[in-house]
Amino acid sequence: MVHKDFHGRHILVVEDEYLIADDVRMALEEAGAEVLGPVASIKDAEELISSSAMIDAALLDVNVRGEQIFAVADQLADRGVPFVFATGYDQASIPDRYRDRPCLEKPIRARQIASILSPLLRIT
Amino acid sequence: MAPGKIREQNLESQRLLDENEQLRTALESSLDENTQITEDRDRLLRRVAVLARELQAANSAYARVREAVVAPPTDTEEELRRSQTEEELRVAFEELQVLTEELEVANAGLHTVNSELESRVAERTRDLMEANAALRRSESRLNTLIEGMPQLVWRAVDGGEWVWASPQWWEYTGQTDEQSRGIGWLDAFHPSDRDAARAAWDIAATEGRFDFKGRICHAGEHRYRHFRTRASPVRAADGIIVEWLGTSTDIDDLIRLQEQQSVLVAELQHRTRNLMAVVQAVMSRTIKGSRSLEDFRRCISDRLEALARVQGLLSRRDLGTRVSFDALLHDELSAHLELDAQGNAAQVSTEGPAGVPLQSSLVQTLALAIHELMTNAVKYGALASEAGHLTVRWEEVQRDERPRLLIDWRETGVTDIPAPDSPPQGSGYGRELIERALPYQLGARTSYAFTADGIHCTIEVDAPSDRALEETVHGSQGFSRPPYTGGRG
Repeated sequence: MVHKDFHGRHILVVEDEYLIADDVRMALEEAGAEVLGPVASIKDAEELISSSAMIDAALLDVNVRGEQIFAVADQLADRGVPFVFATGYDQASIPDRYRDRPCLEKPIRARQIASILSPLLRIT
Repeated sequence: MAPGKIREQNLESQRLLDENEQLRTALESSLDENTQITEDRDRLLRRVAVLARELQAANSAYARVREAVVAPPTDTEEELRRSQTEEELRVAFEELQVLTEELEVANAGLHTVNSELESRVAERTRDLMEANAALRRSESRLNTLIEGMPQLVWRAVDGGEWVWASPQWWEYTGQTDEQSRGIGWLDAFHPSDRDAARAAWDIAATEGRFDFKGRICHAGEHRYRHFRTRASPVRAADGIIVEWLGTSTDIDDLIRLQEQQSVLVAELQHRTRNLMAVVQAVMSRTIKGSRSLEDFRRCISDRLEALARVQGLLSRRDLGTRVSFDALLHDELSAHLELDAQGNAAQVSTEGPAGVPLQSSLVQTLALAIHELMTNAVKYGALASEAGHLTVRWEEVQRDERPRLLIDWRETGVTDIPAPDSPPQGSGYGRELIERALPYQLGARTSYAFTADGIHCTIEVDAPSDRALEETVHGSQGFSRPPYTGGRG
């Protein structure tokens, strides 16, 4: 992520693999974002969403400790927060109601995160 | 049942029917002949009777004439009458003789025809009995074959009305022979498959075959299993379909295996992508921690090897048992040190029970952490000089009613301890894994400290309560519950 486009943006990261989560965190921070989390469980994600007034976008790992992320996605959708899925499965694992949401297939590159989040944050 | 076999059977039956027909025709013509001869004989007998009466009359006339002759001398009229009577008598005798000869010939003919007929009937009866016996043997072989095959076999007339089902069908579905007849068999199919079964029959006659897949309820297990049901028409000589011979083959296991296979293929893709993501993360860490390209090369190659080892452990895990801590430790020790036949290395003590299972999700990160500890021990710690010693102890304990695995890594005899505030020897990556990665993703409690004579590190993680894998591969209902939780989705 070369541009510091995300200055002041609050981005939630749910990813249970520490190494990946930390890479994403560093990439987002380098771009100027405020990272919420990263968190490694559905429960932590739900608590963090409830307690955070400001969430501009979220990056959601589809399978978190063997649990599906979609309850968290529902919570964000209710609040109108845009999100991006990240998955090691193919996109067939995404339920129909979220088929039109952007989806990153692992492994993710930092550059991809920027280009996929920018339109959601209305950054051109 | 092989259609060829059926055709053969039908041909054999047809041949026997033809022979019977021929025999019947022969019998009828023989009987006609018999009747003819009998009529001839009766006619002759009637004629003989008439002649005999005439002869009788002639004889009495002759007797009267003789009396007259013996008594008074006769006149010429009387003489004439006598000679006439004698002549009539002679003619009657001759005729009788001819008729008797004819009668003998007719009788002899009748006898010949009768005995010929008898021998032909006997011959045909023998043939018929032999053919019947052969048919029975063939039928019994066929029945044995049908009742011994795993398929459910049945016969139907056009339109799918069953006329017969094999005992396997009754046994599998719990239907009686009576219940399966007509379209009763349809009740054994899953309600949502019944229309498809009817539709398959609708086109069967024009297609010349019946073929459809549907679920049939197993009476014993009270569940539906997938079957492929097929039938071929049996045709008469003119091509008209006489009946259908069908089989229902259990393909449930096959379908299950196909579903499992597609789940496993998706799983493999998931694991591979995940592994690539981990490799990517390990590489970016290694780049940051490397002082030179040579340093990077050596370090990344070690770490990739450690990752490869853990993939090996995880693939053995696929056989249905969990990776145990001692197996993981042994793999790491043998990668860095020379082990003796008992798996022991100089300067290293390992103390703990064998076979303590690890959560699948823990294996990869824990292996990387142990690898980093090991690398540091060999480079800078207890195994860098002959004076040092490494003790690894582990045990299973209950904490808050949950099984936990405690690992205690203690290095002693290390003289060259860095000052607490000096930058870490090596990359500090091992310490990051232990202090941050394990607690982050696995809820582990860890500690990492430099003591007076070496590193002391403790790791406490959840241990699965069972040794068998709880993850089983389910059907193809999407990935509502991914079977593998070792990698992160």
